Amino acid sequence: MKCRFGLLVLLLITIIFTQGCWGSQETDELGYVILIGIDKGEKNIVKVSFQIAVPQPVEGGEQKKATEVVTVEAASIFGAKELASSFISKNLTFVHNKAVIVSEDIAKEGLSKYINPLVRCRELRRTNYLTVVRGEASEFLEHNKELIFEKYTSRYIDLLMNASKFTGFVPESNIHKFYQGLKSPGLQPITALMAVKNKEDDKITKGQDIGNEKKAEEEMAYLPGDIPRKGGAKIEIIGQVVFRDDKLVGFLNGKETRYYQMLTGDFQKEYLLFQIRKNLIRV
Amino acid sequence: MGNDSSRKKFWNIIANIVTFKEEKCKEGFVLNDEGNESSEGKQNKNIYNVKTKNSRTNKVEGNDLKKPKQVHKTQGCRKKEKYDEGKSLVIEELFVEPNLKTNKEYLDKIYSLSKNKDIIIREFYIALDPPLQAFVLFIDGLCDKNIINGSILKPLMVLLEEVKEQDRKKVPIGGNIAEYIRTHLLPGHDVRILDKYRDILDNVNFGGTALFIEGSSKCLVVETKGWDRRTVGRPEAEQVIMGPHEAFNETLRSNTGLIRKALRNEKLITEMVKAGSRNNTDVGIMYLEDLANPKLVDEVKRRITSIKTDYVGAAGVLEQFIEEDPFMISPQVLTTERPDRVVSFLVEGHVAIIIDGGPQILVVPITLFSLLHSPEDYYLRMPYGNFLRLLRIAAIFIAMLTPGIYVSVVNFHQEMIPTELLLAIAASHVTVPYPTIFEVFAMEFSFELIREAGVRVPGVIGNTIGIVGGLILGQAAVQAGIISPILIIVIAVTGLASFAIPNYSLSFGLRGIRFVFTILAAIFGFFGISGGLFLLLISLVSMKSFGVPFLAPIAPKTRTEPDVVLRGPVWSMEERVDYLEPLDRHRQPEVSRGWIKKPRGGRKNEE
Amino acid sequence: MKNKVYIGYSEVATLISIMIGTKAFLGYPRLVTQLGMTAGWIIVFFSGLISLCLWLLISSFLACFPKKSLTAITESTFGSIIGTVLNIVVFTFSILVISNSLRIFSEVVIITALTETPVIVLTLVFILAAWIAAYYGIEAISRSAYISFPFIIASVIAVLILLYPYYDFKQITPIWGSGILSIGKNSFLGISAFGEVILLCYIIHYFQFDVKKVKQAGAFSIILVTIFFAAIVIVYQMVLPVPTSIETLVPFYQLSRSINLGHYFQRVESIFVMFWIFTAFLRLSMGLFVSTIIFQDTLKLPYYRPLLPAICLLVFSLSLTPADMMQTVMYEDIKFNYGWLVTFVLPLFILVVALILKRKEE
Repeated sequence: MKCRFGLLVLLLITIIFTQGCWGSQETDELGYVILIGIDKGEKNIVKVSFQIAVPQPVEGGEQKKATEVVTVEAASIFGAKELASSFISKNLTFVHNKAVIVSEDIAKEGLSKYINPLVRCRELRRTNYLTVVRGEASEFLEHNKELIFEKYTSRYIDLLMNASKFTGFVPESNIHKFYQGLKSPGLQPITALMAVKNKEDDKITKGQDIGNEKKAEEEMAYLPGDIPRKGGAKIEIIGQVVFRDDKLVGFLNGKETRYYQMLTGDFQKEYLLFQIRKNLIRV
Repeated sequence: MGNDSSRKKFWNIIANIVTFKEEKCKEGFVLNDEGNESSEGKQNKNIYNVKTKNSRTNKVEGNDLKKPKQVHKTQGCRKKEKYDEGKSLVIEELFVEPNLKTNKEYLDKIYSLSKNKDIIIREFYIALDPPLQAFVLFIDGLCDKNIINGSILKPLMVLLEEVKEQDRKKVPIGGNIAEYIRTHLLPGHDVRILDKYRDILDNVNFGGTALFIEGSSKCLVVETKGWDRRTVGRPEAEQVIMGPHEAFNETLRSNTGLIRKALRNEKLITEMVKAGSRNNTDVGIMYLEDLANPKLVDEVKRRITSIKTDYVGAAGVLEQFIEEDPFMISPQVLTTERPDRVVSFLVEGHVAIIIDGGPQILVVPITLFSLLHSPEDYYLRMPYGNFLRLLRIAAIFIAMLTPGIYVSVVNFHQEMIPTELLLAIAASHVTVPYPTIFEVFAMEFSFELIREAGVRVPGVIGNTIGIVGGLILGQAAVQAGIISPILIIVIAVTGLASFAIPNYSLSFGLRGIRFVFTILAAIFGFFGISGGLFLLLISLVSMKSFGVPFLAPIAPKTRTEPDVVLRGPVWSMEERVDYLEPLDRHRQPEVSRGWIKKPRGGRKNEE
Repeated sequence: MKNKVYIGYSEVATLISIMIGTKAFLGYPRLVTQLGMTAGWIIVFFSGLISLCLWLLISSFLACFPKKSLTAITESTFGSIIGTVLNIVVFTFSILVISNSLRIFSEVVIITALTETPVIVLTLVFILAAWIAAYYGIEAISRSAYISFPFIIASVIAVLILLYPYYDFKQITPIWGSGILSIGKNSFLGISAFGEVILLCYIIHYFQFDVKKVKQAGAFSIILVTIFFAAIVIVYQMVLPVPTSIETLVPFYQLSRSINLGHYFQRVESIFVMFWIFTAFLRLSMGLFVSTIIFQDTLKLPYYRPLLPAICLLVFSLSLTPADMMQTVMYEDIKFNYGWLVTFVLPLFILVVALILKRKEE
């Protein structure tokens, strides 16, 4: 019996050591993609940007760059991932990916051919955020590198999406929801809308003076990139994108997004400004 | 030809491996077998069994003896035999001779008195009328000299002078002089009359003093044990904060005394058996006669008496002789040095095995859960005790699995770690030139080295271990860049957890199995850990300790009081454990706190 | 030796529950959703009910033959030739089922945990572990099942509860899903999912308790598993609404992947993978053991252990026969549709005939 058991163990060990450890990878062999940006390609079908986290020791020391953005043109997202390994020393992986950013142009063209493979990919998970950005996704990723309040881009994205949840400017917007909208007979997909603030802060467009009454009514009616402000990070997130099937058909601004949420029942707790005519107030 | 035969041998080996052979039933003892038997029947059976067992052991001894009658015939013949078959064989059937000189010659040969300098024979005359020649035999160092001087030599030599003349006249010469001396003259508290050399030598070898008298074929053996012993000290390995602070020492009698002191019950039986043919170590078996299952007691006796070896020196050796599965990771016998712990098991119906010469006492049978309990659980209030137990269960899993989980998470399931922590781990691993599994093994190994060195290091330089170990583990390895700092945390937590396990043997087992889990994790990730856990569980549940399944109150499920993983309040434990088949299952009545119900006599008192 | 091993009621009940319940970790929720659309949980409920009735019938018939396993009953009823053939059919079925589930478990491990490991290695590890466990015998397996049961249940409940942000009861409407007729039909076919309960009849001579308790053990496990199946299917359909829920290969894995409670608690599916790999080990070793026991009883051999290497090899090679996972899943679907013929109809038929013969004799 003992001998037999020994033989078994021996057999197992031989098999294992002759074949090696499958799929075992050290943490520093992998390049952790935090964000994927999808743009329309110039020389190929699609231009994919990866924001890759640079490993950083916890205890501080000299502040290194937290992330690195690379952009590859290829025929598909996964092709781009493979291609990127020819100039990146790490094996790219999506296991820690936080969000997929899609440019306006791609969204108008139709998203399902990009989303379907992503949904079926084991590395990427459906809980990833999916947002549409006004303008170029690669540009967005470049600007996303600058962190003000955070140390890690990954946490920055999580916190940004979470914070917006409480204001009602942004719908819950992940691949899971989008895919569900795509597939369900009774639903159409929506995503959140983002943009890079490119305009100079001094030149805040005054717009035509429409009077305070109108201004109060139009509170929060901004699309990303248009918020009059100073300071803060370059990227803005407000409003949502409306799709028909997988094609972008229009934007809703912050105010409209709130109304949309009131209709769907997702509206939570926000400040709303009402104008009340003075002479109607009784006690 | 040689080639051919070796080939045949090879094929035989292969055939042995591949073909099935009926497993030899190793234990043949299952406690739960005849559960429905009435306790009375058991009792009767018990007595019967004990008798047969005793007779059997006697018979075994008898077989070893050679030709007893020849011994008495002639000196020459005896001598011849001595050279033929060895000394010890002769002693077995040697009787005390009336001739003092012959006795002395015997002893001279038995003890090799010319070489053996701590065997002392003191010759003197008993002050009777007429004075009787006599000598005492004892071993220096084992006996209390004050007892020998004051209770043997002094009364026989000096005090007798003061006995009145007429009394002295009445002394029966010859006949039963030994009995007379025992009853009238020797004030020792334990005096036995023996005539077999075997018995006499056993006593002398264990601190007795033998008195040989001219003209008597009997020998008086006086109990004079008195060697230097450690006093009752504090437990070293099982310390508690609340609860008694006394531990066993190396003397069997004082250990049984400690147990009796704590468990004052006339039903507490101490049976003595011998183990080991050369040394005949005394082994005490203690149990409560009205609780412990007689079959269990018999089994314990059967196992101990069946041991055929020359020397059983300590509890650890005896444990290895009587346990059922020597290759499993967990001990199947509980080793403790605390009298209160032993008593708490005795009142459950367990059996304690006390071996002379060691401060550890064995308790059988046990389950995994009793290995995880600490006496402190019971001394603390119920919530606190349970908190400790939960902590300890967590400690078991941490000690067993943490390095494995770390390796599999880092190598296979990177998505599990929060992104920021993963980046930190990756950053710390960037400088490390070895794979994670190597790091883990190197650190685990050096940790075990420090632990082992800490035990073996002479006390004077003990402090250096802490400094060197701390430096190697904490600072140098990280700064040199061969170990990632997060791994240090993993190893430290694992080490701490392994020390939180109350049983020393079990913590050894878990520390060993952790390496297996680490290897499995390095190959298969969580799949390997899961498979390892499965096989571990399978092997644990198929283990038995003295016929009791090792995970007894849970698998197989038996009736039990609320004291397995967590424990209930003390007043809720109404029944003894079922798997031991105790003769009396009830520990306390349904309502054990008498003050909860208003006593009926209360009103009377008021009046 | 055979009669020395006894197992108790709780161990048996939990063991059978685990045997039936492991399907939840494989394709079962998807299969039910496919058949019943939003009414998948109703199918589960009804097929649980039907199999409960069938089980009560079978076990009460079985009670007329105390301490006799179904293999022995078959043999004594149909004579040695037909009886042996019937037993061999049952044995073949059990071998096919066990080898298919061995393959499917290995494939699921590849999907969920070890993406780059060759399937043969995982199959080998599974079968070796099952061999060792089956060698130790039913005592060890059932006790391990009993000990690990609370942990497995806790892990399932944890997954279901941690998904609470996704709960959306609108998604399980319309209640009748694919229509009452189809639900009825599929509910009946669905009793194959509870077919493992019939194993109780084949290992009955190991039980320490009387036949009444056997009935109780089977009923307990059917009811418990029905509740869990229904809960899992409902949650599955709420989290992954109907059209998307048909696509996933391993629904429970997809469920645990979806857990996302903020920044700190997400991507935890690997922990839960550990638990259901454990149940896979349990299920495979038990399946191997029961197959071996059926074979032993058919041929009336004194020991089962010498059979283990041969049966392990058989199961191992059969499990590697399907070309890919899709084929294995297809076999699983076939088993789902026709398994009840062997697991419920055949024993019922045997018992009825045996009872009639017994009456006649009296």
